[in-house]
Amino acid sequence: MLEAITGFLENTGIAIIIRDLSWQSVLMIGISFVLLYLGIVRGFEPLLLVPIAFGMFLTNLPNTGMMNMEIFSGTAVDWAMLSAKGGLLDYLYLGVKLGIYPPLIFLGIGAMTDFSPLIANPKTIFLGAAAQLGIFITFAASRLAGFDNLEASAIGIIGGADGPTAIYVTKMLAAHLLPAIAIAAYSYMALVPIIQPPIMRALTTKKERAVVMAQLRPVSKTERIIFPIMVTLVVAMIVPDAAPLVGCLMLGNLLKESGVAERLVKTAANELMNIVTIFLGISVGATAKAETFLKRETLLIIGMGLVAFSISTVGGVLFGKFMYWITKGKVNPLIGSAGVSAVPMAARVANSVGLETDPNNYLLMHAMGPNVAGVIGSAVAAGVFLSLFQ
Amino acid sequence: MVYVMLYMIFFYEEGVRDMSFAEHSSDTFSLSHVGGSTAPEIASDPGVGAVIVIGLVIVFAALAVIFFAMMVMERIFRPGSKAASVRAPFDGRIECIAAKGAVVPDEVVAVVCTTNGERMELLSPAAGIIRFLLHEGDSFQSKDVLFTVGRGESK
Repeated sequence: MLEAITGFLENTGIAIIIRDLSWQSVLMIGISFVLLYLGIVRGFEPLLLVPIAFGMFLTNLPNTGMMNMEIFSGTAVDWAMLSAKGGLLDYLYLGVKLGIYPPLIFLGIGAMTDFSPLIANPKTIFLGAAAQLGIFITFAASRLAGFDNLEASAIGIIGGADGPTAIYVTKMLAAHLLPAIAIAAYSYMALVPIIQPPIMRALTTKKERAVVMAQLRPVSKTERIIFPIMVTLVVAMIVPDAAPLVGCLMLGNLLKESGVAERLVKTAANELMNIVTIFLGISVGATAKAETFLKRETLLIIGMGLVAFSISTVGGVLFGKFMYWITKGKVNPLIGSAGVSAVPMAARVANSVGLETDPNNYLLMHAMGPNVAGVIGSAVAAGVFLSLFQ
Repeated sequence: MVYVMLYMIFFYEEGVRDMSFAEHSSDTFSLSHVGGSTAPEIASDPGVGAVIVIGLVIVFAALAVIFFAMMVMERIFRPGSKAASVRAPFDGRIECIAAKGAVVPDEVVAVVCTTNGERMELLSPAAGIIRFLLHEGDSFQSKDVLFTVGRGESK
């Protein structure tokens, strides 16, 4: 009788926590609470930070058995171990491990994105290219810091400010860094309004920030339908490794612009996107176990991510200044910062910094051009890394 | 640019290997690994400088091709001015909505500004999220109809 009671008590959550909870796990749970605070109270990317933080919280509770990373430690999934001891999060993590979630999220993003500002002002596409500078500079910095080519590629891609792309590349090239990179990428995306404005103000003059850009021309439906097909074709020809991401992005957009698949558009942009976001967030968060996360390179990755993101912003703004000079003052350099692909947050930031100088100067639509170009640009940059190192 | 593109398409891999041969005496590298796990060996390492140059060139080249394609597309498919003579009637209901900085509801197709020449900022989801900076007498196109900013009179 006494043995039965003792056995029961030893298997309660309280006993397990007292017995097995390490200080590292307590620290990780603390970090998950900070992320929950940022998501819930401060409103920073809550759709992603909340599931990521909760996944982190769950996985660091002792003996929940929800995530067993040893199943995924090899290059391929250990299917026998998965069926024998796989928990819920292990099954959800398959979507990350097999590279399914990021393209599906791109499908949803495509269904929600209006490329008209880019089609109406095609030259802004180069701002989306220039803002990928941070990716490659950070690649070099990461190599200098001691990371190998594969890891440096995954770290550099944080500079694209594109969560799904960062996860996709990391999963392909350096899966062991996934938690740190995913958390860094989404944290910096959430911090766009804090990180970018000081850089934008420092690199531009008041006169440049006050430039009022000409109204965008109307874009025909035919252009909007041809655009996704054309982009897919071009990207698949030049960087085939970027095709899964860009292809899904453009499929979502084609569904939207064709106007004949309304039900699919609604599903892609809402239900599918939301389901995948929950699965992706919670399973990525669950990979952040204390023993794999609390390492020197995690701090390095987070630092490098900030460098990547800042340099990308610098690249975009400097190219914006170049376009300002070339066009004799017709382009507001602030829209260059939106070339990082955090859509639409980066465009909103460009708009709000412009409004600080001239309360009547709305740059939102002009910034949306480089912003959506940045999505394509970062996917192409990802394809470059994959083709070089995969 | 076309040359760079063609080069990348047809000679890309060879180019990468050539650069690695130029920079290093061997085409096989053992990669250092901060994380401590086993590092894979790859056949060639293009070198950090080459990755930066190749990466930026390819990103710019890919987006440049899209740029040129968009320019061609614009030439062929840009909306014409067929409906340029159509004028919208004044709609007092819409006028009430169109306060400075207002976001016009989806169901509103046209916006007519009736302020006395004051610049107004209107966002119309009906035409995407297109921005209109309007003065009295200005025109804008929405749903293939050209609208003219009036002073509260039917045009």
